[in-house]
Amino acid sequence: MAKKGWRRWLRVIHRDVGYLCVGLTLIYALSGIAVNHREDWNPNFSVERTTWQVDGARDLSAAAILRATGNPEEYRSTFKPDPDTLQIFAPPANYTVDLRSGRVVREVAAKRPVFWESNFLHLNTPGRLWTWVADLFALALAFLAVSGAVFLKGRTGFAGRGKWFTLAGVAVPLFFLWLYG
Amino acid sequence: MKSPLFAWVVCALALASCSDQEGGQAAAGDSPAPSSLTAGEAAPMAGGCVDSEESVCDSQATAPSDGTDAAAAAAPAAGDPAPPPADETAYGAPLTLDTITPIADLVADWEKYEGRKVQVRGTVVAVCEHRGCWMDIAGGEDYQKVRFKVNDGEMVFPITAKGATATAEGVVTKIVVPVERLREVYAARAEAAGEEFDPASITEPQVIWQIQGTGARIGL
Repeated sequence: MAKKGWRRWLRVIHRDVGYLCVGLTLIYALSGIAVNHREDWNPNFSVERTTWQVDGARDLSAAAILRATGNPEEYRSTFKPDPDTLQIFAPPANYTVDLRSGRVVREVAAKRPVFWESNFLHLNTPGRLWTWVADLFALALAFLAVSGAVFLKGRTGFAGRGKWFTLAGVAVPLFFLWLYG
Repeated sequence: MKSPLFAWVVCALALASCSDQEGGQAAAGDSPAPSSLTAGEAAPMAGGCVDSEESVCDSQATAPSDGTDAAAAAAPAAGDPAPPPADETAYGAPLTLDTITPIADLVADWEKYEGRKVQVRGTVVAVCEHRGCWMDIAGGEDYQKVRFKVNDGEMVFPITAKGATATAEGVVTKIVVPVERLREVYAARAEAAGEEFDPASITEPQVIWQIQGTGARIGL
């Protein structure tokens, strides 16, 4: 009877901790996928690029080039990384001018909604109190993993098929450690 | 049915809020805690991202002369020495040096500074677009810039930093990229651009100078 009570309470706690973790789990999952693919995209910012053709750009001032694109923005500074390229910085926009071809590219970066916030939290950028919240969440996940494995009895419990699924789950990271480690 | 869980959570949060608030890299002056990325990290190629279009070839500044240029002459130069902006974001370890080394001095004689910790200030003219793991900082002169590189995840510079003023500190580092690696990078770059590439055209290793970053402040 005592054993039955223990499992019942574990199940109740597992359920409620699970509800508490839904939001953070989704945030960490989304951010995890996003940062896994940093080779392919910037998970935090999207860049909108607009292109113009400005003839005779080499002989124009930066202000004149901006006027020619229809964006007479006040710029902060310029830089030439090489003799044929001019960069014009007018935050939040910046321009790259190919002085040979007259091709002008305007870039504006913007935060990716939801992803930026998820990464901000997942990567612990705020630090401070959030570090503790994230630690608590990690402990809660560990609790969910262990409690979920043991609160069921019988064929579907850990003593039944559960142990094989658990072993399979542990084998996956071990395999990749062996493969790539 | 009421669970004791809620009492636990309330207690835990209360304990956490009572603890010393430390770390973070959100505000200048805070004691920063480096972020840690969790997955998908790849070993950087010789101090730079493979995805960076300038990782190999452009880290060492050059100073070609192109004669008169109306566009550049009419504009304020990037990175004119100026006090740092009041509203800065701190990255990595706090800055420790009192003296700023002019970028012009660095690019004029990298060997002199090899292995030394330096602090530079200038305009951010490029940022690693995917990982935010490097930024190029220009001094007051055209063609002169330094690459400020950090280990992936230690600091993540936003691409919105382009055009902002950065003060950055790190160790001057010399990297020799072997011929085979250069061929791989240039071949990949040519393939992406749909251009022909002859591996035999690269015969010598390339030397890259950069600042291995420890901390930075960016005034966005």
